[in-house]
Amino acid sequence: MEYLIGVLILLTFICLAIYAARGGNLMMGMLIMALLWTFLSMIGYKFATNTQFIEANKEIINTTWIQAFAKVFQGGPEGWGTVLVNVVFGAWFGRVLLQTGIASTLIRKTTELGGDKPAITCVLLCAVTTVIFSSLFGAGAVVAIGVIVLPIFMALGIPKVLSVCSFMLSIGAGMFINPVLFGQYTAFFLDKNGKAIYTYETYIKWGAIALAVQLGFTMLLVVFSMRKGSVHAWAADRPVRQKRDYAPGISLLTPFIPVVLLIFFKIPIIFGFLTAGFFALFVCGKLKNFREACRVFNKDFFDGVVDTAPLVGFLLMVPMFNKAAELCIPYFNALLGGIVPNNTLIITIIFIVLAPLGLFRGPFTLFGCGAATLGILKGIGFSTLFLAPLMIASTTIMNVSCCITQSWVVWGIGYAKISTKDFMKMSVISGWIICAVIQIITYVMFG
Amino acid sequence: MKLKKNGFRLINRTMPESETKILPLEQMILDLRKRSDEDWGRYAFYRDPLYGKFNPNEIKDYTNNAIQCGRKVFKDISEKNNYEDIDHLAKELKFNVIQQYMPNDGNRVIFAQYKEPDNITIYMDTIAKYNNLVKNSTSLVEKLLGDIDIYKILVSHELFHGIEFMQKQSIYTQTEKIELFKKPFSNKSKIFCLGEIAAMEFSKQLCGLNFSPYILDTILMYAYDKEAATLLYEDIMEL
Repeated sequence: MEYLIGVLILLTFICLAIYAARGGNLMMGMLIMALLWTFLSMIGYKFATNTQFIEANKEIINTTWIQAFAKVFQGGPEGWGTVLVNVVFGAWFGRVLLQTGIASTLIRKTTELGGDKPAITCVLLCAVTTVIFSSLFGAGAVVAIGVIVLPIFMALGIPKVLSVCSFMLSIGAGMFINPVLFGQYTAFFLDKNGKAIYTYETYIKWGAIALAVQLGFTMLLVVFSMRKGSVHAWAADRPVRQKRDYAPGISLLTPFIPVVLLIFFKIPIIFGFLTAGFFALFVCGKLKNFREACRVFNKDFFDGVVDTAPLVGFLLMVPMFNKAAELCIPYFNALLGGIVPNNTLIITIIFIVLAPLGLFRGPFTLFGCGAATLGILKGIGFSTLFLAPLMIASTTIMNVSCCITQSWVVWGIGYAKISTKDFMKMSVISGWIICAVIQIITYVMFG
Repeated sequence: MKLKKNGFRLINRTMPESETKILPLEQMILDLRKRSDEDWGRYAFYRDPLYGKFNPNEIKDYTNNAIQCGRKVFKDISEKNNYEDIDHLAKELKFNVIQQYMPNDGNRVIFAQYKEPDNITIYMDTIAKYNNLVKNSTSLVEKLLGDIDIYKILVSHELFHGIEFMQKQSIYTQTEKIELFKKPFSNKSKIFCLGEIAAMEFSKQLCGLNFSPYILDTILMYAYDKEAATLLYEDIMEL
């Protein structure tokens, strides 16, 4: 019986992979998977006959239907709810950076620093983009920054594919220490009570190293690719409705504040966002009186929440799926326990060689069917300390930075008028190399 | 709402995009045709990555010099070559002209591109859209602009960039520099938009136009997205 259920669970996993790769709605996909895996595993437990299997999984087999529903559909999203608020405050902070003109000022000042040397200016802009996206998150933010950065890249004569690719990789590099994205990852690493077991403090050292690797590679990519010659285009852009004046110099410290406060002073991230956000509003003259302060605070919060709304739905389904995966662990062990290697080195090598499986919402990305892969690997007994960076690397690099199923990547490709084939040729190879380096580091640190 | 900085106007719109009133193309063409070379110079500088580094007087001087540069290159080319057939001229100057049929959309419409050292790509979708605009409407676009050859305008613009690359040691648009910061950390940079201003003037002379080819930014954008074209027109008129 356990083998039959195990096979059915794997079949649904393959169906999810195909569904995700074809661009199916992942929010619905996760909900359906949570339902299927809950029902399949519970049916399997009720009809289990193998005494060895029953003996080994005594506790979980005695789970009642109500307990299973409570664990999956109530406990899952509720547990992650505490993290969700980080996402909301991060989105508000992102809006503040955009509305005050701090993000655009940073970019323009950087351009004025580098001048007509395309490689130097591009490298500097990549670094600034990474800094901005170490605290900013969301497709709206990427578009808002992209419409400033990409035309500058193109005006500098940087080829379009390289422009988009380096921009996306720079965003991805920043995402490695982005507390908002990290908050989403914690949804995959919760304890029985739904509390996060993988903290930002545990993660940040590895996250900073991963950022340095990805940004360093992006810079090298720009320097070497620029040897092939510049490209100049005659194009018209849809005008951007934003200020062209500069934010005050001191306000340019704002993007660093929340992360610095968190890393060096252990100040909680929401307080960090609030401190940095109000500092930015104050120095940019947006808090002239109490009434104005209320209006600005309200509007930026509203816009920020709207920015993240589609993502929140998906992320509330993910913990359900994770909890359902926990119910399936005995089946994974029965079916795959002898097949999937229980060795960190071999798993690392598999994640390096098969890194492109993180594309198209495949089994190596947590924003696809990687949640199930994680469930299988957890079931086999790998530690969270090792699994978390392994999966986060694959997800942040292959999915968030390189994949055409990522909303902002699609926007970038469309904006620059490049073919997806040309983009993928550069992004996948780049992502693969970065993934390999970071996975080796993961093995050395936690393997 | 307009803000002032360094003596010239900057745009700060707060009105939601959906409230933009789309203007008739004929009206926009009529207004844009009246824009002077200096007006178009301000438009070019407005889009330059180093925009914040210039004051209005500098913009005026640089614009005039770039226009003279474009005229000089045209004079040199026209004295030595037959420029009636633009493909022939490109071939004579050893450039490859590629026609690409990739669809555009209204966020960023690419008309043409030059890749060092000798490749010019013309996005034919833009030309097809312009032809449809002229053919399908009962408008006066053709009358207002005359029987213009968009393809020739685009190729000639990109040809200038090719010539600029070949003469990069001596041509004004490549040798003129601005000091970004002073000694001991001196960093001199060329001014990106000078090449664009000169290329527009070169194209204008070569195609015998009595208006700036910059006008095509709005007209060709209109073929894709009327609202974006109206916003662009408003930006240009407000500068």
